[in-house]
Amino acid sequence: MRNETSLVDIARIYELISNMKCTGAPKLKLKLAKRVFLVTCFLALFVAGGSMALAFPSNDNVCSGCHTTTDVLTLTSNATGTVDATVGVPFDLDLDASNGAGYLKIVSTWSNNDQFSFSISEVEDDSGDDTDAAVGEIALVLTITPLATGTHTIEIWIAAASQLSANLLVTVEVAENTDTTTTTTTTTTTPTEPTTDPVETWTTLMYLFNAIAAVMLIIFAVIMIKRTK
Amino acid sequence: MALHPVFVHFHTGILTATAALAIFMLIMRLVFREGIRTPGTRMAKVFHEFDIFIYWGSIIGLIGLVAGAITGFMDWPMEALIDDPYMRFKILWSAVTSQIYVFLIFIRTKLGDKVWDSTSGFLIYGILVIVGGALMMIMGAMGGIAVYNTSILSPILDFLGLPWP
Repeated sequence: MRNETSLVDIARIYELISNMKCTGAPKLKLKLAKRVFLVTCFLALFVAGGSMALAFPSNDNVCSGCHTTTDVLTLTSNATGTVDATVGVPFDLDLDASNGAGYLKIVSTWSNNDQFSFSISEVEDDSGDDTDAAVGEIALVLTITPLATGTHTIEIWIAAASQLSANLLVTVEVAENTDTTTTTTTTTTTPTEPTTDPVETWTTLMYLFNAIAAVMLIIFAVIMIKRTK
Repeated sequence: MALHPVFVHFHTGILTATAALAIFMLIMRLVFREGIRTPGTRMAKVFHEFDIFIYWGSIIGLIGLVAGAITGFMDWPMEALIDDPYMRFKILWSAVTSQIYVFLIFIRTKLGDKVWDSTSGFLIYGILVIVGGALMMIMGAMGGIAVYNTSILSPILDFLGLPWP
């Protein structure tokens, strides 16, 4: 509705400028005004397009690789010092992101995140998992289940447009679970599949597909030139 | 501020529009054969205007495609891009699509509107315009998925098993 109104307003302003009748030097100014108006509209569209830049939430790199400004967004938790936990026993961590946070993400390859199981690994601002309705603020209760004993670090990142990012490190001391009555061990054997590196495959395809395309297009060009009199 | 989003929408729209016109022109050319280009008829004029749009659309689109690629590499590090399957697909097929448009511009510049004369000529030309536009549409959808996590084309891409690899 707001956009429609803006478009109508722009159309009215342009119509007013177009319908103004002047002679001599003012006419020249009016022509210039029309041009300035159109260029301004074009620039506004240009800037609007730029402002739509968001993140690549599907990326697995730490956010600071692309979102290089790391001192604007804030990410805090209710953890004070080292958190004590037990293998297989879930515990909750209250997370609070603000100052324009767009995404919160936890990837298993960061720090010791693979030593834990997380109830959720990605939260978008104002999505169903975000309990803070304010724009640019994310709040959630993250349930974490330790998978192995030892001192591990959990690494959490938040990011937003305009290159912003921030992270939080939480140290967890995980003790062995002595409660044998509740522990069940399940051994599953999964068949091992041959692993292929997708980046390697992609590199090969970059050469292969482009070479095939080039050869095919040259053949097409020869056919078309020969058959067209 | 990221530059890439500013440079990607305009040419994607133009190139998909050229593909839509190419579909129309192919159908017209196949249905009316040479009659579609009878000088002086309104149909021939429309056909000619569409042909001109495809030609200039391809030129502007190719410039936009190259600009989009350059700004993409400026905005995000290469290792972050190739780590993402959507970006890998976009880079791979952007290179192939650029070749297609270089071919289309070259052949149209050399042969003029005679590209629509022979059957083999207009089929190759028209189908490649459609393929180029379709690839641009898929790459645009993947850009949308990378940013918003979803696209109207997501069900089709899932069905086709894309992105790959």
